[in-house]
Amino acid sequence: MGIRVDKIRSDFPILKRGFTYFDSSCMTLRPLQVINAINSYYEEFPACAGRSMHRLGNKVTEEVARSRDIIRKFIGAKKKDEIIFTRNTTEAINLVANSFKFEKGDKVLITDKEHNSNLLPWQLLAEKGIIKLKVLSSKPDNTFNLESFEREVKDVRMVSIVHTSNLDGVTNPVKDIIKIAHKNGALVMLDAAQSVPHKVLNVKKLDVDFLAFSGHKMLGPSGIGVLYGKKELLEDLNPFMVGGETVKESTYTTRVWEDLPERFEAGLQNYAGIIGLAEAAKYLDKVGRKNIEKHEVKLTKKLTKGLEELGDVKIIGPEAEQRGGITSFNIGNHDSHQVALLLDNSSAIMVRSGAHCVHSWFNKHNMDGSVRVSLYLYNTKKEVERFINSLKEVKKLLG
Amino acid sequence: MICIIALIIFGVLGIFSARHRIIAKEALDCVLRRITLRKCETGLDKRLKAQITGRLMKGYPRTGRQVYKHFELISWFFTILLVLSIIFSAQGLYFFAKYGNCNGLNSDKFCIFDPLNSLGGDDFSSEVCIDPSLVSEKELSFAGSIEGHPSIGSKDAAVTVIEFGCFSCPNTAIVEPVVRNILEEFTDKILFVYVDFPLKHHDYAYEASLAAECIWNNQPELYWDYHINIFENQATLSQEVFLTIASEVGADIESLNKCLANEESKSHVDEDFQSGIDSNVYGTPTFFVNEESLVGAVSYKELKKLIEDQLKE
Repeated sequence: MGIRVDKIRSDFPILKRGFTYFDSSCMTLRPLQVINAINSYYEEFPACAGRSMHRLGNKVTEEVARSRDIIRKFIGAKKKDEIIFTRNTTEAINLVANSFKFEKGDKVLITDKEHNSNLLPWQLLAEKGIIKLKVLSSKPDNTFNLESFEREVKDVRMVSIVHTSNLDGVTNPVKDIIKIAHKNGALVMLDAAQSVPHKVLNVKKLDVDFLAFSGHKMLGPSGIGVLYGKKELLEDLNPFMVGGETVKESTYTTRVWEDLPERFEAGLQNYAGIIGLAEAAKYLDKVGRKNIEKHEVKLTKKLTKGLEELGDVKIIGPEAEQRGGITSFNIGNHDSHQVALLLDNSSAIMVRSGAHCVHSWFNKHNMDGSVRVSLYLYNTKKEVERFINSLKEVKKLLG
Repeated sequence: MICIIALIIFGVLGIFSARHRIIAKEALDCVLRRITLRKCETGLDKRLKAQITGRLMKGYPRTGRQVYKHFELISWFFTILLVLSIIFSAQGLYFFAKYGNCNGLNSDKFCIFDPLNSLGGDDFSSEVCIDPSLVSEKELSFAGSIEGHPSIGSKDAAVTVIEFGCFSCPNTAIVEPVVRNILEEFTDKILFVYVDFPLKHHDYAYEASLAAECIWNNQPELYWDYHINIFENQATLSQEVFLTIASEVGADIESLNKCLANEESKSHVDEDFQSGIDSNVYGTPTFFVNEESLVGAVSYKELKKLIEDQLKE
């Protein structure tokens, strides 16, 4: 069963303003249900969780626990303790990079299409001499090179790769990657910021070791993210950020670490964000991520056809079916920022431009950036048509 | 180039709003980078270009395309225009502060800083009725006496304004309303004295002065009515007109005729003229405001300013 976009759109108050929002890979819009859930915390129980014994404190504790469970189910994790709330994907990856007990000379493998969030933490560790960083090149069509991976993974301690690329929308074959990695004794960390919001994902079935994603890319609030980790692996991590709630008790010289997941959730948490994130997960489950994915691919195909018909448009990555809801392109040699600005100012169409935090890939390919259209469940065929027509005008203007 | 325009415009707006201050800072950064032949990093130039052309594209796609294509050229044009307009505005402000008219001395053109002409800038003109034979390098300095001349105001006033005027001089006529306004504003503060200075080459100048002198001597209460009427009918002055005006203001025509024929009356007019020559007056109107002098059909603002300065002293 498909999705009823008109019904979905009515849940997003901001869409009444009449613009076209094609930048969901950066930040999604929020439905009223999520906004109400966030507000409910501030209006009804704006207190501390896990500390205060009073009725408001208990209510927050219950809501956070309930939210954690919703997120657990959302990604198919086994235990609630395996869900750690972070600020975002970046913090989750940093947590693993800085807490995992690497031995000197351990190798970490990433791809050549990583977001800075999954490049820089490892780059710094490599500079400190803690790890050796290996970068796996993609195939010429920008898809994952599994054959090359099989060769490169042999002496690797950890594989940290993007699940769905924010650059071109390509989803890596993580099931195979994880199998091969595990066969070679490597752990796998997935940057799932662009996959969890758009596809059904089950960490148990995937057998992934660590997985990170953000709330703001899945209709949830900003400033909330999740790190999933297998319990035994999380328990073995060094403490990362420490402070309030990360210990059971302490003396001036010693402390007893708290159990999971609190051990990694230092200080007062973003309770409104956690509750809003759970509501977003519920919303996505209700619509069905399989339906969302289908909807996105359908729109991407239409978009790709329109772009190809325009001529002089270079799309980054493989064919439409493999790019989910993301399409990165350039018009001739024109500046991507200029194209984005013109689309916004002439037609109120919002797209992303630039290097999309994947500077390394653009530098490798001697490119300044690209225009990126990222679609989501609230986008329509009409919007895609409008975009193509507007782009036609922009193209004429650019000459 | 667009960053220079943005810097100036947002710099001014930034005085009042923090939001515009941020854009002004971006523009400044852009300008500094461009001066040193580097690329603008803030992207302000791109944003402005896209905003302007993007909005044009909505209603006028063809215009939008042309503007985009020639954006740098158009930016240069507007930058030059803006710089020129700033220079002219500054000059206008300077003139306005100094002369009361933004177009400079001797101009009677429209002034944007005083659109309603509340300061009387439009009657500003330094046109003078000159007797070339009297022009000299000598400094103007009142050398006569204020006694016996038509006057308005208290003799104890701190400021004495003496006007040497000619009834046939168009510039004296032009300045007449200015004098009226000044008298209205500075009643009780100044003593205004009118001294006849009938220029020889002006028809009926001497006759008009003589008639006015006679009325002043015979019926001083009618003098200013007569004086104003003469200026109002300056274009049609004749012996007949003098008498008609005199009659209209209620003068005794018989005694006026007698006075006109009287040599003593003539000698008064001659004395007046001589006092002008002694004061180095070479044309009309010439004003003495205490020790200061002004020549020509001065503006209300200029005369007022001189009086105020003297009052302060």
